[in-house]
Amino acid sequence: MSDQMTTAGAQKARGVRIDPQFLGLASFYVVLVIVFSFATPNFMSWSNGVNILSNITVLGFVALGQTLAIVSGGFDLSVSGTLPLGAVAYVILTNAGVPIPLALLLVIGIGAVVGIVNGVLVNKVGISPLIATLGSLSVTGGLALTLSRGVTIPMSNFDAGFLSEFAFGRVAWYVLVLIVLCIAVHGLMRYSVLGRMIYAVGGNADASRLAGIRVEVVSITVYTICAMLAAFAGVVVSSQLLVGSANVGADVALNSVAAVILGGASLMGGVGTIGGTLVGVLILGTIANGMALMMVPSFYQQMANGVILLLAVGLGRLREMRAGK
Amino acid sequence: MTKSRLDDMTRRQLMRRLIALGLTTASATSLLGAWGTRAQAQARYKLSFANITEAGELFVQLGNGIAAAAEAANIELRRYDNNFDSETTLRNAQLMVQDQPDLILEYNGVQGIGPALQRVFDTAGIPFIAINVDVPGGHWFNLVNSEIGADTARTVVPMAQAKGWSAADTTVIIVQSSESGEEVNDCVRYFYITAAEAMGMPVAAPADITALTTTISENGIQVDGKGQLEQSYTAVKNVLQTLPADRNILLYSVNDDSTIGAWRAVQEAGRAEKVLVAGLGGSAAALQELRTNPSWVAEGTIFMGQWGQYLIAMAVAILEGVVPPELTKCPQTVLTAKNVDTFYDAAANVILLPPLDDSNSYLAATGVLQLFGNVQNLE
Repeated sequence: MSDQMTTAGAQKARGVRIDPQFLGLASFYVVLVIVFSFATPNFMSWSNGVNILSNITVLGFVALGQTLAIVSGGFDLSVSGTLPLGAVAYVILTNAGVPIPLALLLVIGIGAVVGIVNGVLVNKVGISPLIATLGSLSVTGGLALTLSRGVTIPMSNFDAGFLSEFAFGRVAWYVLVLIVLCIAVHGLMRYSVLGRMIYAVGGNADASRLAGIRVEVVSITVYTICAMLAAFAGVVVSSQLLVGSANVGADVALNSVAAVILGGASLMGGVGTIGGTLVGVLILGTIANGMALMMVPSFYQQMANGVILLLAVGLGRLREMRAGK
Repeated sequence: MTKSRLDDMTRRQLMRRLIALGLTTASATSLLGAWGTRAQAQARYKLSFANITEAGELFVQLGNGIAAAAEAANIELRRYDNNFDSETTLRNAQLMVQDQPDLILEYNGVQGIGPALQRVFDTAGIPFIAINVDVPGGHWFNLVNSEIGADTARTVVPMAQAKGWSAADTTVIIVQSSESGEEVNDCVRYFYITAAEAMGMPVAAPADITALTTTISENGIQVDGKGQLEQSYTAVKNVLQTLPADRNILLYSVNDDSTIGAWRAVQEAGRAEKVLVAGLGGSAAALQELRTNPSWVAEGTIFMGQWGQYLIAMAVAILEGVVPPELTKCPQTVLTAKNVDTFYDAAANVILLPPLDDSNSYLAATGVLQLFGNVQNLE
């Protein structure tokens, strides 16, 4: 059984104890905020805080699903195809007069189909997650291009962009939805049987199988949730931009993996938390925002992201080596 | 009549019929061959065209436009797909040369292989037109990004001044695509330079605005939207945090996707009233904004689907001995809400092209453009 589960058990016994790794990550984030606050006068404001939250939302939805995939011992690159497919399909459906709730359900359904296919390819056909999800990335991305004929489709029914309406202040509904989903997925991972099975499968699939866990079913479920979240992220993007385009979400696969790893998950599976991923997403979004406010050229921002990711993974590996793993 | 005589007759009849059929077939074949030769002979010229890719709608439109123009001008055309790939491009160059066309239309997306292409075409002694990306030794057809950027600024600045905006209260935000190179980003650079000059802002030299430039002056900011919707949306959202809410903004991006993303950032920040936006590309989404959104005041367009008419006219002119200028400009103009209906119908189809630029007047002499009857002021 993984460390994570051991930690969870210990926490139950001893009451709430904050994971030191999470604490380190959160401390790093606080330092980052302090540094940017001194570096640029426009950083520390309510308006910019909302701006950062808004900027990280799409990545946040995808990273939630990616966390499940990585903790279960796989990963999903097809999110970069599912997201634009969701965006394009949502705008086409709502433009065609399909009621918005139904369009939303259909898009999430499309995501579910992609996820089931990914899960079956990985678990039943035995294709590695890298190849299987890379293949479906091509198919879904190509489908998005075909549906949109390669052009940006304006949303003709602006009501379909309801998620980008402000819930209060200048905080959009999609930010609130992300917060609710974070809590829900955290609850799923931490307190549900499925969550424990995901950790178990990621920690040791063979041992889980021997323990009676239906590994394939768990894995297919995880890929399905992951793709549904990516398709929903597509709806959020099209709500933000009021258009459907096949050219959105290109970076989201790698960025979501980066955020999850930055958040303390291991690519080997069995380790990772939603809280960690959220801080990982916040770190990436805050660095991009802070550097933009400091007028740092985008090339350097890209390098900074890479350096921070390598540092985080390097430190994690060092910790594992010290622990004798 | 015995059975063997019957067989004999049938055999003779069969032979006669076979000979007759053979003669008929031979005659028909030679007639068809002669017709084919005549059809071949009737084609004025034989051209080969390698498209940058046949995957994107815009490029398919370009390829189809060239094919339609060639057909209208009675020119034989063979199409190749460079697939955005240098090896495929060079392989296609060899294939085209083997086909011995009168002229080659080369749309290559990989700038570094220009000299290799030049060697292939020069060795075969076949003239060629480089589309969009310059190839040494060839004739060049392209949009002029610097010109369209400057023209857009000349259109937008009077509108800003009519609102009472001045250098004291206005910032110019340009959204570059850092990975697309200097030529593509000329449009935003020259937009800033021209707007700054007209509004009395600190002027920068083109060389001062590079892919790494962020703050151009106290009136000018450059962000990197990478030519993409989402990235432009995020980049502009971030930079808006640095500008006071009452600041007026002139916003211009390298393409329509980028402009749409940037515009949404402005709208979401509640600054729509304080912004004048201009796009580039003439996409259906942008034309809709131009027609309906009072803040989207200008749209540069390059009529890519109609480049074929120009290219075939250019090819004919070259083959008839005309020496074209160093760069033959594609049709390009800046649209506003007032003139958009002159050039595009409600479904974003082109109905008219702008008048020929003076340097392009040699194209009119070929008679090709007149076949389409859609160039303004060209009889």
